[in-house]
Amino acid sequence: MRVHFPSIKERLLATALTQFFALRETPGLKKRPSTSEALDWIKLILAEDLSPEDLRHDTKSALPRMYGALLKTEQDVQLFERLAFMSRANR
Amino acid sequence: MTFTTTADYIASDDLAMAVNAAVTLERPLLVKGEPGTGKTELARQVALALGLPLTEWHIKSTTKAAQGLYEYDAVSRLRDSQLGDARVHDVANYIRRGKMWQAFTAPSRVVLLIDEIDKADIEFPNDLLQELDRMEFHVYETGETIRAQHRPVVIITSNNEKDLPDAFLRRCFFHYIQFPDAETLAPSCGCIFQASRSGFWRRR
Repeated sequence: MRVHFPSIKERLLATALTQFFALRETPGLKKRPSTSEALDWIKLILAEDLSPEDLRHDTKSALPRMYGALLKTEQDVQLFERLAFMSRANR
Repeated sequence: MTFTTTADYIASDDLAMAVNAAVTLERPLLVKGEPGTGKTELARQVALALGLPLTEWHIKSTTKAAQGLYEYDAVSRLRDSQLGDARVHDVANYIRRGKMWQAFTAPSRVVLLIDEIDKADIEFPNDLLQELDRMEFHVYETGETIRAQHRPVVIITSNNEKDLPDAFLRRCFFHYIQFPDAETLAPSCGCIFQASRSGFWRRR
């Protein structure tokens, strides 16, 4: 990651990668995101100048910001939304 | 150069974000959704909003990926050779340019719409991976390489009739257009009927 984005802030990278791996480990995804998806996603985060806080609290939905770079089928989007909703309800 | 809701087209925040993200990443935008949710119209509106010309490539079940690049018309060349036509000596006279070639060599940047990619067979998206990634291809008959002078903004639509291969998905930015809820649909209707009252009608 640092080869591609030498100037990325430590905290932002850590938050983004934590989210990325959590999403990657979601059971039952049709298309698990790989390195190129992670690179795209972080490129967008930098382009939009998002902070680690922006990543953590997405106000409206359960999905991460710019999720189109990570989730590539509508089944996966729905699955992830449902799981995130359930984990919220359990809390 | 950003895309937002226009007077003729209501784009959700998510959709506008997806368009701008795909433009930033220089990746194709893959738009899925039920028929009639405005996938094809999106490409037209993006072209309008960015002020770029639109090249449309509509895919059918018989479309081959190579047709988007070029076709070599061997039959015409054979006929011309029988008739002693001088054009026959240059093979370039028998190369028909496809939509991707047109988009690559256009004088300015264009929006390239690849409409209903799921209509073609499963190999079709795979065959276009290299061309969409590197924005170049080789013409074997003439030995030239066609390279995009201005990287087109590529918008691909799918009606979900077939699953697309993972290798293809990996290279796209994905967006699913949800059927609009009442809140979004109301202004869409307003937007159409207002236009029709003023004597201006857009088919969508």
